[in-house]
Amino acid sequence: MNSPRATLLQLPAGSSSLFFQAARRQQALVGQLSANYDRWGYVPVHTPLLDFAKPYQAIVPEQDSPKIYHLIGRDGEILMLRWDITLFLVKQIHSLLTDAPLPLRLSYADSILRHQDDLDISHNEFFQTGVELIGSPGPDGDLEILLLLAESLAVAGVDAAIHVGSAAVFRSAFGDLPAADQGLLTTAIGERDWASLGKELARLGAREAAALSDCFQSIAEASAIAHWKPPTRLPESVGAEIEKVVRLVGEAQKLAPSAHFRVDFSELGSQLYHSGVVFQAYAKDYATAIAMGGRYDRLLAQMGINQPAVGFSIMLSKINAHSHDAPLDAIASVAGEPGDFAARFLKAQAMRAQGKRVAL
Amino acid sequence: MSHLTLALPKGRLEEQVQAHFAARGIHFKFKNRELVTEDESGTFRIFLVKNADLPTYVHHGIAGLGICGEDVLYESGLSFARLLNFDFGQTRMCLAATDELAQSMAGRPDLTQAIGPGALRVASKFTRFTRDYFHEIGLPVEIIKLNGSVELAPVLGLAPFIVDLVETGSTLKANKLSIVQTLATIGVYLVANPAYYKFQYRRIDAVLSQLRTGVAS
Repeated sequence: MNSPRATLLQLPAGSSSLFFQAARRQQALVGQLSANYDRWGYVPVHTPLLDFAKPYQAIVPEQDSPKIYHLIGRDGEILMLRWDITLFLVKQIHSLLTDAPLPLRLSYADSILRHQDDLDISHNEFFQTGVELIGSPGPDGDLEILLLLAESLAVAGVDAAIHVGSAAVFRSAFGDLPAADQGLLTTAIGERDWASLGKELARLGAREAAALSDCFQSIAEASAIAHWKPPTRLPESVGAEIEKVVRLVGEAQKLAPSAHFRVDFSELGSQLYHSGVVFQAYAKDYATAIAMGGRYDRLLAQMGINQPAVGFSIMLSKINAHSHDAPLDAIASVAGEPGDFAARFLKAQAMRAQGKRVAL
Repeated sequence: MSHLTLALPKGRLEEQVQAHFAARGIHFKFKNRELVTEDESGTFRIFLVKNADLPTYVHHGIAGLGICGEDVLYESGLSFARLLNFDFGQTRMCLAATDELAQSMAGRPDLTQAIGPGALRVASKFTRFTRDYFHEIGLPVEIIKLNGSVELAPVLGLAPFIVDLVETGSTLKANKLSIVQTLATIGVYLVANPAYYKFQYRRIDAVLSQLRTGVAS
């Protein structure tokens, strides 16, 4: 496809456009969510689309490197396109944190560009909205974020189940193992392949392997959490982390009875920088999680800021793709009205004051 | 309540699944040339799809559940929740060659020694599996992708070796080929789109109980 017309019709691999109804819907969703964040005291930030790649080298997980789009800057510097808003934000806010009172509440609505699929290159650009709460340790900070997420999803019109786990559960059980072994275990848990998990635990000589496997298999409704019993014979450190999650989810459900929380210890964190509570939201007819987040207490320290942090992102592109609005009101026009431009302008102004959409 | 959606591959596995489900109280059939049906209890909406396309349907959530061989899952490169490993439909992924070549390598289980220097030249449908398997054992491999009738490759001189699924071995034998080495056992799995499973876990776990024990829960 080398003809000029073909080139005009193409987009570079990984980018996408949004027109008409879909664009209007997205704008409306961003507006509603941003207004909600604002009501909770979160102030907006915009991170740059491009940044130097070098400062991120220490914190970009190896598994994510192939997904990042790099480019060469005009001075020969290697740059990267924004692929994770939390990481970009963490690098940018250093100057903010020297003077700002804590905790700091930040919100964002931006696109990221991240390669996701070898075959489906049309979905490499995502629009996300979310929040970061910096300087508020768990569990209060965790509770605030979970409740804000539940309310935000309701504002977006999505009936979601929020599955809450903890990266600390996995780390307390297996944090001393080599990275390769941890990788095998997280894959088995992620795929709910309990036979493989059992084999790996046996190979590693894990203490209380059966109890650990039962732990990661457990999903429980928050509404029934008072009757849920964790697997017995868990290592004490694991049991302590489980208890934290159970208490957190029970409290969140009590404070937001119309929300839908679940305890789910197969949730290990969508990012390697997660350090404590982690969660993902799932909804009917969505093929992937529509929101995710967690606590990342050590990430800021890698940028020289010793503060706890927790946040979430909502995948607005996915929600937008599923939304079905009523058709847009037709745009009226005064182009055919008698009189000069000034007369038509005033007529359109009067119509707009009545809430109509009018073109000149 | 909406149905649970399940994709099945066309062909022999479809019949095996039908029998397995029927033995556990889940009855369905496809009329004439239909590709969509429901089971008698109204629990499932079942789609008949091309084997190689099944992971795609499940990945996109069109079918929340799917039943297919591990070979297809692996080649897709996609990640699913593996809910059940069935006791039917097992095959083997094997390295095969002409009878003479296989004979010359007999009794030498270390492929790196048996093959000698240079890359292993292999024809296969299963390019991802082949690449990963031989890279894991440190053997460089040159892969020629074919879409079917892979047994022809050594017969016609395209490649001395093939990697292919073997059930009874009769197709290999008919083409004067022999197994050099069994590389993996390939099972049949009930898989789920991970997000679909998470949202519907209670209904799906109830079905799993039924499929495991034959008792509706």
